[in-house]
Amino acid sequence: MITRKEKIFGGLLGAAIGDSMGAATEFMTLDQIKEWFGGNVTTYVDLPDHMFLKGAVKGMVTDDFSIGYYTALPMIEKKQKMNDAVAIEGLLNWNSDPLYSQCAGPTTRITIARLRGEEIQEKQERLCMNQRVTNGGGMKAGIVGLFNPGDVDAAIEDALTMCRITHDNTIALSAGCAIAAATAKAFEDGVSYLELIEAGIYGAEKGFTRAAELGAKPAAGCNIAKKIGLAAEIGLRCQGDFEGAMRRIADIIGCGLYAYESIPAVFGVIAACKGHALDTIYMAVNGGDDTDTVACMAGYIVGAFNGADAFPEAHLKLINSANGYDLEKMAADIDAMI
Amino acid sequence: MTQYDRILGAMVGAAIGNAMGAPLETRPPYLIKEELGKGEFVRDYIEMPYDSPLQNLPLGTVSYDFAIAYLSLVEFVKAGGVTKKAAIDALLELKNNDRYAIYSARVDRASAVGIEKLEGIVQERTPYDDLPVDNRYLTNGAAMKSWVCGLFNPGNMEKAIDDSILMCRPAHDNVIALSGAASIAAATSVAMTDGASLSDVIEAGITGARKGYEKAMYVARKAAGASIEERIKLAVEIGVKYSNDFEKCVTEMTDLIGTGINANEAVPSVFGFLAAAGGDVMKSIYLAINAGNDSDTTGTMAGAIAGAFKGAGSIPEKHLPLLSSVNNMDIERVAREISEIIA
Repeated sequence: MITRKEKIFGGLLGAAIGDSMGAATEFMTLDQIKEWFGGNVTTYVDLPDHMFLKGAVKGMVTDDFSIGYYTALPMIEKKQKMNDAVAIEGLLNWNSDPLYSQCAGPTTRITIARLRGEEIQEKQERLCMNQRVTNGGGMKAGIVGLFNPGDVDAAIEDALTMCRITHDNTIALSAGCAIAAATAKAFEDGVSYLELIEAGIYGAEKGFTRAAELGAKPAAGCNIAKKIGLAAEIGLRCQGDFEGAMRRIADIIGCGLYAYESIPAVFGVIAACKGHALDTIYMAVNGGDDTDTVACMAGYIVGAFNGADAFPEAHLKLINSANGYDLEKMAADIDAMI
Repeated sequence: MTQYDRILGAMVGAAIGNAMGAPLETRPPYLIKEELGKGEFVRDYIEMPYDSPLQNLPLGTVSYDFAIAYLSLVEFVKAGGVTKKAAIDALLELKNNDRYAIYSARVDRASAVGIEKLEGIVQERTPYDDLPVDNRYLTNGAAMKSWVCGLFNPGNMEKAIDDSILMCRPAHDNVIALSGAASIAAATSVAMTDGASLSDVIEAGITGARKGYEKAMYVARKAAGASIEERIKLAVEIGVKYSNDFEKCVTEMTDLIGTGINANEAVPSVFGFLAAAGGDVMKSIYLAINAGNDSDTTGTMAGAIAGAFKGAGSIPEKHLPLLSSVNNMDIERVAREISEIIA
């Protein structure tokens, strides 16, 4: 049996690996990635010159993992479960690091400017701000799954608290809850990858309802729960055909910035790879578009599902040294406080 | 049916879809029904909702979508066909003539940037300019006007596809945006022919999406994003499955395909609505606009294709005089002039 600490550790490590490997392939199409790197990327490579994350080295994470990491820090330090104050503290500390603030997404940027009291020049707000239905909630929600091992409903509530600060609309929150729920579910003894997907659908449905109850803004866009179902159907049908599954998910589900593309895509790759730790991350890294975010989210879930031992030792060394992390200690700290 | 009937049908259908869809824009189907339709889906021109930046406009006012298509048609008539210069003239006329201020205030960001480049306004360099790919502008601003290329090329799908790329590259130089444009142009071109069935029109949309993408790959900026071709197939599946259940059709379409500003949502959904409505003009428009999000654009595209397919005679008579007078557009004259050019 994999211990709780090993699973927390695996979730952190998986998310960091996915983000770091995906940082090199982000934005490009599936075919461009193969052309650029001479095949699929399954290790840490130098960022292409065109990437605007300046000062990055191999193994370095981007905004995706770092925001979760920075949010965990005040929670551990204060032995405080998720609330508005720690979520805001984590967000602002994270944004003070220029390495990550340069890659903050569009919706997160607006919130940070508002929290810092800066004047925001925006067109008149409409009831539905559909351009804010982005994946920045989902990308950080995996961390609350690690703080709520096995407790799917508590993970959903914490994801809502954490993500409402930046992504207060029903669809983006539904997406965040899907990732948090699946990550929490991964701690249950004897759970299979199919139940991770089912937990994602449950999280998306419950997250949507709770978000609306809490007063999140309505939005137009795809339905996260239904699209997870479609992505899983595609993944299950294409098991054993890595390239075919990856292409079908990219073509039909999409792996873009919208929450209703990249979050369902996570469950598609988990289904296609049966929750295998490295294969799932590889597929997310090579599917194109917002690869680092898809791989980071998938990494939380399959990392917790498989435990840290699923990743060869070299990964941890590189991730820790490139980012100045001690992920094993962070896992022990989280384990100790819950 | 004469080609004039089909051209007029496409223009009136597009204008109806645009004008009826504009107040519904940005909302999801359940809010359209609850809030705007007072418990029913919307099947007529209604006032703009309280949160729209456009207020106190007469019912039947079109938005940027139909306006740019109409002005493009006017310029193409002058040029005797689709040319790049005429397409650019239409973009600049719409932006710079005060008469069109209500439209240009609402222009999509991709078009706005594209037009500024045409005017020689130097764009501030952003880190995105260094990428071998640009995923920010794969929007539907090309597809929403490209149906006009179908009117000039009845039955000539290849030429319609080429013309749509010629017309749309100045503002939407992006493989996915152009794939969407070619899809709508190809479907309209086939819808203009006698004897074409609905499945012929839909297949043309699928072929157009594929060929448009392939052709654009040689000339346009690359983009990563879902495939319009593959999503059309899924959208048609949904449309056929729920052709007898209006609410289920619009909900499933928005839930699984999406109807947003990206071309790979709005364009596929249109073929789903056409399939569900059997190509009927008003039914296609009602489905498209009530699916919400970018309602005015999906409404425009669905109305254009269905209008060309079924002709002006299938559209209730009240719409043409209303839309012509409210928007001060001589739709009949322009339709007549196009029919003379292609005769």
